[in-house]
Amino acid sequence: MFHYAKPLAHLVAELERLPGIGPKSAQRMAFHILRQPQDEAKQLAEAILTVKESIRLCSVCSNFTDQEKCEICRDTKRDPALLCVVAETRDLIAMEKTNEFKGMYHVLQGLISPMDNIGPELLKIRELFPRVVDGVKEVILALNPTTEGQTTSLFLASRLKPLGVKVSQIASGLPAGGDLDYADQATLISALQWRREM
Amino acid sequence: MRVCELKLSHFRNYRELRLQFGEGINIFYGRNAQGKTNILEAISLLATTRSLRASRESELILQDEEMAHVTAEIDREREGDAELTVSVFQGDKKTVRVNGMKRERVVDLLGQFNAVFFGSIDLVIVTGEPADRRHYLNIEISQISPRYVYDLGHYKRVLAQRNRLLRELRDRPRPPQEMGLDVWNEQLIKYGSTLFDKRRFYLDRLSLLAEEIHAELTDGRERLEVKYLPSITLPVKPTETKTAETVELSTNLSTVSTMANNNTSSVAEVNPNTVRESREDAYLHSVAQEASQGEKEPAPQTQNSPAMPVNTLESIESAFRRQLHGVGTEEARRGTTLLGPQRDDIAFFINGTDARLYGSQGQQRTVALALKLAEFRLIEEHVGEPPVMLLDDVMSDLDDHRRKHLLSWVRRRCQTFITCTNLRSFPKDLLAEASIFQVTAGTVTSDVRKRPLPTRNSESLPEQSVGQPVEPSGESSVGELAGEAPAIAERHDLAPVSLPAVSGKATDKPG
Ligand SMILES: [Zn+2]
Repeated sequence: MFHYAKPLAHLVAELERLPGIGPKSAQRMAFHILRQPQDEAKQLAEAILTVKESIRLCSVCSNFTDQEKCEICRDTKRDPALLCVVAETRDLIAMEKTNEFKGMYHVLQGLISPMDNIGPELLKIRELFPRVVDGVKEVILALNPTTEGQTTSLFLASRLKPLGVKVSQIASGLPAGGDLDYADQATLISALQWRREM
Repeated sequence: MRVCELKLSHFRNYRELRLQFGEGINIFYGRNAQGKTNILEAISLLATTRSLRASRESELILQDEEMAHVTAEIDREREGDAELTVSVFQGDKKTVRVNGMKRERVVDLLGQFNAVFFGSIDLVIVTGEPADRRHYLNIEISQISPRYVYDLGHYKRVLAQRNRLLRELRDRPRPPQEMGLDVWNEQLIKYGSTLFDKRRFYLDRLSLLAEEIHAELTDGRERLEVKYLPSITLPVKPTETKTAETVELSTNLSTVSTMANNNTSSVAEVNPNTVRESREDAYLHSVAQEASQGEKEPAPQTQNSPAMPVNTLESIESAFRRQLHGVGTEEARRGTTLLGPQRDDIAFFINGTDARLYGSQGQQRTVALALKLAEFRLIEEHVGEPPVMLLDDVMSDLDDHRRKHLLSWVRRRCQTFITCTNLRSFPKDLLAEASIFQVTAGTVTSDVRKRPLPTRNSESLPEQSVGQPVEPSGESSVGELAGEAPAIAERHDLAPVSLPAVSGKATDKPG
């Protein structure tokens, strides 16, 4: 039986580990890279290495950034009394695209999910509390309406409310099981407008 | 409600099949394992989005194919015609379409079309494990309450997550509060309570209907009793009690529970006082309802209205919370969830004895039939028109009396699909008005003696009158079928009956 030459097999195997990439796509990608000019392939390899070396979490909000503080946290025109909690950076970007929200963000970097071995201690929740006591008037929870998103919202609300801060949740006009980053802007804007106090 | 046309593509043993049906009784006969039940399964899939028999849904796909499609044109009295499609892909993924438009979620198909299936596998409702009975309940309720499916989905997920967390905490002890166990508890309570609530509500009605039908089936000789056995002690419904239970809410849980309640209702605070008040409200509400309705059962609700007053749900939530709290230590020791709808059961009693343990097979079959006919009535009440009835090979299982009863029950009441190995069990006048199909190794041929040959569109003749595989070389022409017909008639003793062309109705359908 024929096998790919070792380096090629290796590349296919690595690509297959990426989310959403099956064996067929991995092979297609590998052959594409193989046919690419040398410098294009090099650019791809360098982009991967650079992102690993330069991107880190914002020291304030845990958003991805290439500096100590992310662009949003450095923006002095934003309202520090409003804090929007999202699960991932891609949800932050979805919110930003609406152009409706002028407060600050906090990125949890995930949702509580025991099945994936993610407990509250592994999320950026500990970093949230000092921010909330420090002048935040309202925390808006903008997590996906999945079981895990709901549970994480409940967890945060039960822990934040004793601090005396107003906690609200964006309206779940979002299709259940839908993702924030797929929600169209109009849906997200109305979800933000119709947020409910928890 | 009726199925006018059914198209199967790469479904089970059918490569391509297109069938048009009669309004009344449609009979599929042939030897075993020819694909008769697959047709019923396809129709059932459109109603429930679930396979009847497959443990993995990719089993529905014809071998070596990537996907299967089931499409039906449905004629509905209340909501007009619709074209419904379920597609199944390798890897057990499914998508649904309504009038060609893809819906976001598979559950969005529920409520579009209703069908009740009855076959020998339904005996497990009575004789099987509690899981079989819960499965039956889930499928039945989902047809009338799409919301139930949504809650069930969340509940199952919460349960899996909570079980994992309990196991983790047992194996590697940490403060449960820090790991969010309190929040998973509240989620379990929230979704679990709606399931308890809906199950009790629908089972109450279903058991009344089933008991009535069962009495008819047994000429009043046997009395059936259907009992819901929920995993927790449910609070007595407000109509049945006049004293409010004492409310115990541990203080540390009340913050979380407030928020859990806010998720579903507008109740701002949960403290014992408001709970007691709202319970009184529930009591008054139901008394008022009873008074206005006299002897009658609560009016059937449409799909959009809430099934019960919210207050009932709240009292279930606090009962569940209290009892869950009570098993907390044991759950921690065992590392798994000990209470909840996943441990519900239903019991059936015939004249006071447990039908599961002591019933004869005939009695158990009659109970299953009564349950299915009750389900039919329940759907009819909720939807406002009769669902489609699917009877899989039950003719030979039932005794003469019950068979007659069943046939007269479905006759002229609803569109019915029946599979059988021969036509002997049917009265001749029924056969005369039924549409009859013969199923042989994945080829379905309608009984040509009964069907006028459509002349206005001779090109589409094979497809209009005959469903057949597309790939095989098209030799199964009308001529061949006509040649086969006398043989069928001989075998089934049908020759003397002159059969009017009733099944032509489906063919003559405009459009
Ligand atoms: Zn930042």
